[in-house]
Amino acid sequence: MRGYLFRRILSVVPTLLGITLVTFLLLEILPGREMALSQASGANLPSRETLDRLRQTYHLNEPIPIRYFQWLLRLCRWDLGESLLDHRPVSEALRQTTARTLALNLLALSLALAISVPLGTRWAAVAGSLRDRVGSLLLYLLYAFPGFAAALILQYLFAVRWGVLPLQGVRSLPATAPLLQRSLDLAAHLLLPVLCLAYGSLAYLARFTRASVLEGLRSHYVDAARARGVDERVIVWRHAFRNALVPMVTLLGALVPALLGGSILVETIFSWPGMGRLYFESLQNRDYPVVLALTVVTALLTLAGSLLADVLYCVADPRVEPEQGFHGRLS
Amino acid sequence: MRLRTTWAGCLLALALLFVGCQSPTAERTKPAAVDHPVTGDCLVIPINSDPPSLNFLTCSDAWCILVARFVADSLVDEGESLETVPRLASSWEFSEQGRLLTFHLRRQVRWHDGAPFTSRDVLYTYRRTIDRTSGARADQFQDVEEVSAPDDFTVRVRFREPTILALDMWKVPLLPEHLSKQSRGAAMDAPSHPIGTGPFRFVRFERGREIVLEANPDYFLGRPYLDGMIFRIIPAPATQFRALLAGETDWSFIPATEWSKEPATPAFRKRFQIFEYPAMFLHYIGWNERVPFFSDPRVRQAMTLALDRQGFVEKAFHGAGVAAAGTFHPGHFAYDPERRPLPYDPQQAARLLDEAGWKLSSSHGLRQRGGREFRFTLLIFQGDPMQQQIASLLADSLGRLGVGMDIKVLDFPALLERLHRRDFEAVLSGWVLSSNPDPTVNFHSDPVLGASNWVSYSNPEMDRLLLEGRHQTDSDRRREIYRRVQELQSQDQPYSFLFFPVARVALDARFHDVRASPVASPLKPYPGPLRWYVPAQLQKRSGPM
Repeated sequence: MRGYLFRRILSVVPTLLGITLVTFLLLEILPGREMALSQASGANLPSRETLDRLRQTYHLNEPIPIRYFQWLLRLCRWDLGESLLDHRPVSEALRQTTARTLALNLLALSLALAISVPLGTRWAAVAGSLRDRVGSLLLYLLYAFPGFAAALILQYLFAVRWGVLPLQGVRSLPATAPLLQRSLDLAAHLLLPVLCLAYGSLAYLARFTRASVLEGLRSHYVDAARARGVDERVIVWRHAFRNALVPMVTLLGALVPALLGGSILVETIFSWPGMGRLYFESLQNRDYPVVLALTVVTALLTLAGSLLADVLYCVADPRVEPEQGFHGRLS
Repeated sequence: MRLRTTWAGCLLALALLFVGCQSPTAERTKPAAVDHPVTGDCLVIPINSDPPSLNFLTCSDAWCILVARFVADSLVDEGESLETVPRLASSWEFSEQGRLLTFHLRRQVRWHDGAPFTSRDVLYTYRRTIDRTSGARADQFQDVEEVSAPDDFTVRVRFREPTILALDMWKVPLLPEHLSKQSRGAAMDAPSHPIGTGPFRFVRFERGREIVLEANPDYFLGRPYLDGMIFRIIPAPATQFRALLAGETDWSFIPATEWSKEPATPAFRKRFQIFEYPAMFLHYIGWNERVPFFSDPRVRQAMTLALDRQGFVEKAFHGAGVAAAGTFHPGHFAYDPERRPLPYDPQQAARLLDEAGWKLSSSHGLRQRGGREFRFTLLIFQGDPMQQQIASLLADSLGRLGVGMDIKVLDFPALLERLHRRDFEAVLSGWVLSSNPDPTVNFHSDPVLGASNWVSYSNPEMDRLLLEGRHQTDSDRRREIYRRVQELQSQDQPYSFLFFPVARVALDARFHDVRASPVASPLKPYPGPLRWYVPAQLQKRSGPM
C-alpha cells in the first residue's frame, strides 16, 4: 500500500508537467499578446519603446522552451508572478478567490448530497414503483432547467419581489459588525447561489446512489440477511447503503475540478468574486500569469482529488488490490 | 453654498414629526413643499468590474476615471451643456493670439492629507504625464511647448500653435507633488490610497466588492450634501438592474429589453427618476479599403444604404438609438443637424453596386466582378448580443442584394490584434466619444496621427481639414471646417455610421436637485452630483459603511 501511494504521488509530477506545458503552448498561440502588453503598460496607446521595454521585463524575446523552464523554476518556489493588469501578486488574488469559490461549491455539493443520497437510497428500496419513477423524472426536469434562468428567477422572487434575501455580493454588513450578525448575513448571501449550484446535480447524484444501493440490494449477502429475518430498513441502511458509499467516495474525487471552475455563471450573476470568474476574466484580458497560475492550482487539486479518491477507496474496501483502484470495482 | 444650519434644523424637526405618522412602504411620495438641502445619505452606483488600479495618472478604464472625477480635481471641467467650467482654476485668459494660456488657481485648497494645493502640483502632473515611461497618455499635451509657474497660484501654458484643445487637455486629475517621492516609478506603482483635492475622500477599495468614498468636509465649494459614494462591483448588467429594484443600489442603466415592462409602470416612475440621453458612443462598421471590395466609395455607400438602421433601433432597441450621419454627436458644438443619415434604400444600393461593376449573373447567386464573387467576412467581438443582432440583420439585407457575408466572432484582444495588422475585411465595433469631436485618430492617413485608422482611409482634403480644425481657435471657423468634414464622411463612407445608443438611466427619486442634460449623463457635469441631496425624511443609508 505504501509503495502504491508513493508511486501514485510520483506520477503526479509528469502529469502536472504535461498539463502546464500544453497550457503554456496554447497561450502562446492564442492571439492577443500585444493587447496584454498594452494593459501591462497601463497606457492606452503605448509607444514602441514602452512595449519593447515590457517585452524585456517579461522575457518575451527569448525562445519558448527557455521561457517555459524559467516559469517552472519560479513555480517550484511558488512564485506565481504578478498580474499583468494590476501588478498585484497572483498568489494573493488566488488565495482570496479560491477560498470563496470553495466555500460556495462545497456548500452546494453538501446540500446536493444531503438531498440526493437519502432520496436515491429510498428509491432503490422501492425500485420500479411510481414514487421512484416520478421522483426521478422530476429531478431530470430540474437538471434540464438552465442555470442562468434559475438564477434570474430566484433573484427576482427572493430579492426583488419579496425582498427577503440579498440580491448579490458576499456581504452587506461592514467588517466591524458583530460576528453573529455577520455570519447570518453571509449565510443569507450564500443561500441563493448555493441553491442555484446544487439543484442541477441532484439528478445524477440521486441516480448514482440509487444504482449503487440497488446493486447492493441484489447481492448475496442481502439475500442471506433477508433469510435471517433482518428488518428491511436495516438491510437498506446499514448494509446496502454502507457498501454503496464506497463508489460514492470515488465519485467525489472526480468532482473536485468542478468544485473550482464550474460555478462561473453563478459567480457572475450573483457578483460572487470567485475563481471561475477570475479565470474567465483573466483569459479575456490575456492576463497570462493569472491564467497559468489558476491552471496549475486547478490541475494540482484535481490530481490530489483523484489520488485521495483512490486511497480512500482502498481504505474503505480492504479486499481491493491497490492497483485496481476505482476501475477494479466497477468493471 | 454652505449648509444653512438653522433652516435645516427646523426642517429636520418637522420632518421627524411626519415620519412617525407615515407607514413604511416601498413607494415614496415626492415631498410637496420645497425643501432645502440637508446632508446625509449615500449614493450607491454599480460598476461592471474592478478597475485594474486607482492610479489616476494612467487611468484608462471607465471606472478608474469615474472615481478620479470625485476624488481628484482638474483645472477645468465640463458643465451641464458640455461647456468648460472652472474647477481648480478659478479663472483663465488667453493671450498672444492663443499661444499663451494663463490659469489663476484657487487659493486655500488643501489635499486630503492637509497639504496645500499650489501651482507646483500642476507642474508635477504635467511632467509626469509627458514622461513616456510613466505610462500616461503623453500625446494629450503634444501641442504644449512649456508649462511654467511664476508664483504659487498662477500657471502659464505656452503652446507651439494655438489649439482649440487648449482647455480640454486640462480636464485631467491633478496629482500631489508632495507625494512624488513615493510614486517615482512607472505605471507599476499603483497607489493604494489615492489622494486628491476633490469633493470626496477615498476610504477603501475592496476588490471584487466595492470602492467607498466619503464626503470631504473641507472642499472649496463646500461639503457635498451626500455623506459618501459607493461604487459597487456588479458584473452582470441584469443583476445591476435588479439590484436597483431591490433597493441595494440607487442607479442603473435600464436594459433595452426591460424598457417596456417594469419601467413603464407608474409604481416604478414614482420610485425612480428616469434620464434619457444619447450616449457618447457610436456603433460603426469599418470597411477595409485595402480589400478590393471596399476600395470603391460607391460600394461602401451601398453597404450603408442596405442597412435599415432606424428599423433595427425601433425593433431591437425599443427606440433607444439615434441613427448617425457621421462621428459628430448631437451634443457636439460642430454637429450639423442638416445632415441626414443615409436612408434605408436597397434599390439605390443595388444600383450603386451595379455601377461599381458588381453585377448579378442570375437572380440567385452572388454578385461578381471579373470572375470574383462578392463574399466577405465581418468580424465582431464576442460578449455583446447586440452585435450579433446587427450582424445578422446586415447579412440578411446583403444576402437579398446578392452579397455574401460571413460572420466571425473573436474575443476582444484577438480582434484588436487583427485590426492592428489590418488583417480583416470588415469589422463591427464602436467608438467611445469625447466632448472634443476631433476625429483625426480615425480618419487621418498618417500612421501616427491616424493610429486607429484601421480601414486605411486616405483623403488629402480630409487630412488637411483635420489638422486645420485642431489648431483653429475661432469657434465659427472650426464649425465650418467640421461641417465640411461631416460632408466628406458622408460622401466617402469609410465607415458605416450606425447609431448612437440612447442610454436610459434610472436613479432613485429620493435624490433631489439632479439636473437632466439632454446630451449627457447626470453624473457627468461638474459640479453635478456634489449638489445632490436627500431630504431628511427620505434618507436611507447612514454614511458610507
